Amino acid sequence: MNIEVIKANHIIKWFIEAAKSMNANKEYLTQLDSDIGDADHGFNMVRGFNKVYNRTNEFLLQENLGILTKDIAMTLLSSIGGAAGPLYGSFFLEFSKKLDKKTTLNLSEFSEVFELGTIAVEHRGNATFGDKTLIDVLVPASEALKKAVKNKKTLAEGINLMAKEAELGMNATIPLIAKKGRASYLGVRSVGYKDPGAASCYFLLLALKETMTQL
Amino acid sequence: MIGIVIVSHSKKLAEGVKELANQMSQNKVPIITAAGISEEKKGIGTDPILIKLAIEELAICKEILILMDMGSAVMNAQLAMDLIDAELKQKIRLCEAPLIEGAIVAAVQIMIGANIDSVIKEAKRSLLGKKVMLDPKNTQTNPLEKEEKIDLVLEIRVPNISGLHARPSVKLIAIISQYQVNVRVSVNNGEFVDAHSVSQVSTLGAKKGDLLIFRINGKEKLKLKEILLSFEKNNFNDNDLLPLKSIEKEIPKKQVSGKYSGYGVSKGIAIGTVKSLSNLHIKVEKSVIANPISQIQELNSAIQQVLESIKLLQQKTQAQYGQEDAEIFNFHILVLNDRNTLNKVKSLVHQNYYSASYAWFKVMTSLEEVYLKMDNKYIRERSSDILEIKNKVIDLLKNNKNEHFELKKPVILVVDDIGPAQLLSLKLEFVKGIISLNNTETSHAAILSKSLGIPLVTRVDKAILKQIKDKDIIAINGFNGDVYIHSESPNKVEELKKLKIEQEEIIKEQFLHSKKNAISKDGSKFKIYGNIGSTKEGDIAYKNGAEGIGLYRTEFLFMNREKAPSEEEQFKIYTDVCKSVNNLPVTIRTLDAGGDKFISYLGISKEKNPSLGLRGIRYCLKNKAIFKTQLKAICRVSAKYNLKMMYPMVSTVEEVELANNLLREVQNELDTEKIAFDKNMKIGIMVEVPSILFLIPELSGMIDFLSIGSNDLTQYLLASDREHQDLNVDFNTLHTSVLLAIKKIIKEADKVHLEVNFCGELAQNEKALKQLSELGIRNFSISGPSIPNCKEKIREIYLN
Amino acid sequence: MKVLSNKIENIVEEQLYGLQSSNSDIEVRFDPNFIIRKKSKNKTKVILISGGGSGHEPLHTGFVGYGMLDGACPGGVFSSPSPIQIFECAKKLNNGCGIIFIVKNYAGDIMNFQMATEMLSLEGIKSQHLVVDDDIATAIGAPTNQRRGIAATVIVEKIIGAAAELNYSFEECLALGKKIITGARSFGVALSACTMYTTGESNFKLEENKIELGVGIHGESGIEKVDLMPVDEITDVLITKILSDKDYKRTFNSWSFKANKWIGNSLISKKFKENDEFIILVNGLGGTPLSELYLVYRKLNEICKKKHIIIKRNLIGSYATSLDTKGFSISLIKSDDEIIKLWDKKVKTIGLNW
Repeated sequence: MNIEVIKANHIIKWFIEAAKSMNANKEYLTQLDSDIGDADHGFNMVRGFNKVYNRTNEFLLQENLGILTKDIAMTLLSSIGGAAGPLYGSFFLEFSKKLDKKTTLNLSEFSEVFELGTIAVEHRGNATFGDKTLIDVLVPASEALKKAVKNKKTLAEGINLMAKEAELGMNATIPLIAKKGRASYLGVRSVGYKDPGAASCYFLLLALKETMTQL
Repeated sequence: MIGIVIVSHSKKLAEGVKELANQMSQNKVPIITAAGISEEKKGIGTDPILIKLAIEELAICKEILILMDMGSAVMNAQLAMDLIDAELKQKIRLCEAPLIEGAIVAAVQIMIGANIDSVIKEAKRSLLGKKVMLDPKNTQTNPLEKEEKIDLVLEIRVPNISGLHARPSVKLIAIISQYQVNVRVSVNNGEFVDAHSVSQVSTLGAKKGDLLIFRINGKEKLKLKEILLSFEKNNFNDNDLLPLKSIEKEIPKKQVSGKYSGYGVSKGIAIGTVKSLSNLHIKVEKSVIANPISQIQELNSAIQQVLESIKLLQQKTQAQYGQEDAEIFNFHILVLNDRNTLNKVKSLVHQNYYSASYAWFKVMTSLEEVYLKMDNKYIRERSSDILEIKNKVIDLLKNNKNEHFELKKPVILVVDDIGPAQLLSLKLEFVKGIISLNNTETSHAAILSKSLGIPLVTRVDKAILKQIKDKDIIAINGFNGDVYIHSESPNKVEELKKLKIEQEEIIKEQFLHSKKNAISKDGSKFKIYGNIGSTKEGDIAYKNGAEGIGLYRTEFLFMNREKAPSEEEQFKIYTDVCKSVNNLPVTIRTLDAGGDKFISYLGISKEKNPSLGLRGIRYCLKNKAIFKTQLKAICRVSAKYNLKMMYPMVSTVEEVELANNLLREVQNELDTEKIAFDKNMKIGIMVEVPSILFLIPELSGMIDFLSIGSNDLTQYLLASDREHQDLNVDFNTLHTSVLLAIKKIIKEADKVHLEVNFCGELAQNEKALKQLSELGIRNFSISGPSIPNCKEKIREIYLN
Repeated sequence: MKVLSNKIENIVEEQLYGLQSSNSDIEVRFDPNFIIRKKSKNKTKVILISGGGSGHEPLHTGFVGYGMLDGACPGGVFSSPSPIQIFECAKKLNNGCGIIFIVKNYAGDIMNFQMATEMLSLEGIKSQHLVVDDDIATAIGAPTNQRRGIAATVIVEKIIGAAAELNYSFEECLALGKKIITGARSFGVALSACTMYTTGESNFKLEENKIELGVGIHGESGIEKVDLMPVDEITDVLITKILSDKDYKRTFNSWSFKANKWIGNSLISKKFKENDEFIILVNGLGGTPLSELYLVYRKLNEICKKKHIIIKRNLIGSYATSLDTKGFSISLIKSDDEIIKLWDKKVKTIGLNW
């Protein structure tokens, strides 16, 4: 991949990939969520991302990244439901705040709004790294992006590194004790299970990587 | 223990299933079969009485799991249940899992200690494995990724005298961070804390003999257990010498008037004008902000910047003062990376809307207080480091410009507390001496000031603050901790001035004496060089009369960092080293990594036999980019300084050929870029690998000198690890075979007029020294502080 | 276990259609989904809205009507509603007198209602939260605010509903709410786990001879599995746990309209004492016959008499369910004259009607 900036159509492709991924992994996410939750995560993510997918033609007309990502954020917010809705919604809402009138994002800019999105999720969810949530994926992903910027990597390299760290972060949730959400009611019984939110977050970020690789 | 009853229509099948399950569970699980009908149990069918008997055989088990093939097996199992007494019945679980797969999975689960619900759950899911294998679409979403849910519990007794203070805590956390695990730890069954957090681990206050209980979970928990056990065996990597050296000294309570006593840490006398650094206790007022998200963004950025500057400082320190001093900053780095602390700060910003600087100030100040309350003084004095880190981040968050305190002329600093980073950030040539109120003699700043050679007096009487102000003249005595103010005791100050001059005379004399050549009684002239790894060691070697550097180990420059040093960095350090010995000849050895010298970013994968693997020159020949960068830096330094270069771990002629070709390439590039270098720089090799003994004639055309590395030569010749405790090889004397090998080397070298040097601490041994001299060696390279003694010994030798 | 459904994805929507076509006192809106009372005569009352996952009916959609909720927002089964649903519901009902959201203490519910409050605030509409956290079984303690909100929510909605009808002011309603919440404690038990629409099975298995103590209402496992006992003993275990629960402190966030941010407030629930007066709710979780709930009450009544616990009012039935879970919860809500007076006031909803 040679492109150095993300544009609106890339974002849309990202969400198409993501929707496919959520559908393919619906049972898996449901399984993870019945181990340490109430079995609705898979359905919720599919519902939300399908809603975004169904608006693809509409979105394709939007070049303003700020408006596009805000629209996506509100769609996710209104259709995912559960705890995941506000978290993914907040991520992309904060993401969108700095992007008004922008039509391209280089690695550095992407890294910055990604970090802001991550912080917004910490804020909304009142959770931090180590609580066994999707934040355990977002934080390492964000740090990988920042490091890639510092080391002057290309956009593709940066996103690859981000996906790698995201996967490690997701797997690192397995031995943790859940501190937030339904899993937290299980206390130490939540140890040994992968967090479903972390898994869906990884799938989302992986979808971005696959999108960029296919370009 | 949970037991399993296998109920099947077929006896053969049941036995087969039992066999499989036993194999998978290492025969550790009680498994009984109840299969077939009729006396000989040869018929196909099931019998409720047989099942009942089987269950009763497992009566001592906590729970009994019954797996059945189908149909009447189930009915008869249920019937058997009715025939069993109520108490036993309670323990039974009929499980609908598939017979074979379920039995195997259940047995494994029981073996690892899962509870009955988990066992049943897993048994019911036992077909998923096959499903996934057969349906490729499912490979990414394999639900069988479940890890062990059970914590591995490991108990370790704190072995070292000083207990789990900062240094072993740092080491412990470094170990844990290399594995994919989640670890919690407690002392003597107290509260469990996050073992990845330095602030939590180092404030446990675990003393020698205390029991540390680790709860480890995650993929690599078994690996970590092994490593932790050897950490315990190694006395937590603590040399236990410290407590003997630094007993809390009693500062004399009776103050002689005009004298302010403290504890003399770094030897030396200094007289000069006062400059106080009182900006150390920055207080941040509580403030509330509107946008927590941008505050956290700023916080993240500030911490990152401080981390980077500390890492750079650490690298510089490593190159200049060596590993031990550089390791001081590991604590800083861990504190800045401590998730536990960071989460606390973030919570305050997110929930209370505190400004990042206030939240950081609040959390770090209470952390400081926790450290100050610890019993163990080595932990207590870490509060200095916490204070320094606290202030650095605050300075960035508040855009404080005064973080770079510029000294304009030589002064004696008066501080309440100084941290190592702050000390190093000063223009050291202007720091004549330091008085600190709070630093202890084993604090990081104290350790550094010893390396820097700056007189330091700690824990000075606070009364002094009232008596002095900037620009006053004071005198400090780092030997005994005395401090005098000129305005109060001018005589004492004069005394110290005189004493200082006397001391300097003594040192000058010692130096002149040490510079004297080492000549044996028969008049043979010897040259004694220094073995060094940093600029500081170069300095020490020089002061001890080294006639140059016989071995400058460059790998220390590559250690403790995330990527290889740049050409510029290397150029600067090598130049500094040459300067430290006043341009006496320096023999620089190219990167000798691998083997026991592990450097993470070099990409040397785990080898079965590291000492026979990719190390020394072999690594460099395979990683030309890194090698050429180093060669370029060395060549550039050779333009102005007296530099020789040698390759380590050479075992074949081809290696030298290839290395020299690369050198020529580099020199050609420099020529094209019109950059100067010494075209006649002498090249040599380390003789460590026995094959060289037979290759000297062939090598003679390519190199100018040989340097015998006795440690590795002995190890390779005798195929013995010098660290091994059970081998009977004495590495402190010259083994016969080694002696003979050296004899051969000298003989061969002589024939082709190659210079031979000896690099190895073995030269400190009197007997070995004599033997080597008798063989004809005249050039020895040893550690700096050992040089004067070595010269003395040589002066006592008489060679025939 | 068998369930009644068509396509799983449409379950909630179809259930809402059923609700709409059977009840003329309420209005059902779709996309975003919410339910509101049809024209309330009282134009100056505080508006009460609640919501949460579907699957707990009659909680909350069955409590919209006179004397209780003005609106309810149903999310997916066991999933919180989205802020959009809550926002639109609130906007529709807004009469300028303030909106109180009764929120059960779950991460999802809290976040979604918080976002709705922020969105309403941007439009100048004042709203506030009352967070219910009566479930003492929730394992993790005070510092992380983890106690779940379960059956006592019904009581909270009834009492505040009556107060609002009587034109209690915004502040008075909130104060009353806090009073009730800090006097509410519940504990549940399940004989079987519910059947999840998403998986077609239960999230955890209970053997024939085992019961699960401390279950919530989302099909998740409880805190302890014990042997099945006679109902009298189970009742004893539950009420003993409730009565021995110590003083409990937690912090909840309230919205500051002026400062435009969430501010923490500390609340303390004092341990129950002898001679305290209570409204008691024996709540079926959906799969237990009403008759069995009366068995529970029989023993409960006996124990309370012995322990000098004064039962002023009782409510027995399935009000805060968890699909088809076999089991029940006991809730004790401390009462006083005001609370009893409000309890007795008229209510006209599908779930409560007197």
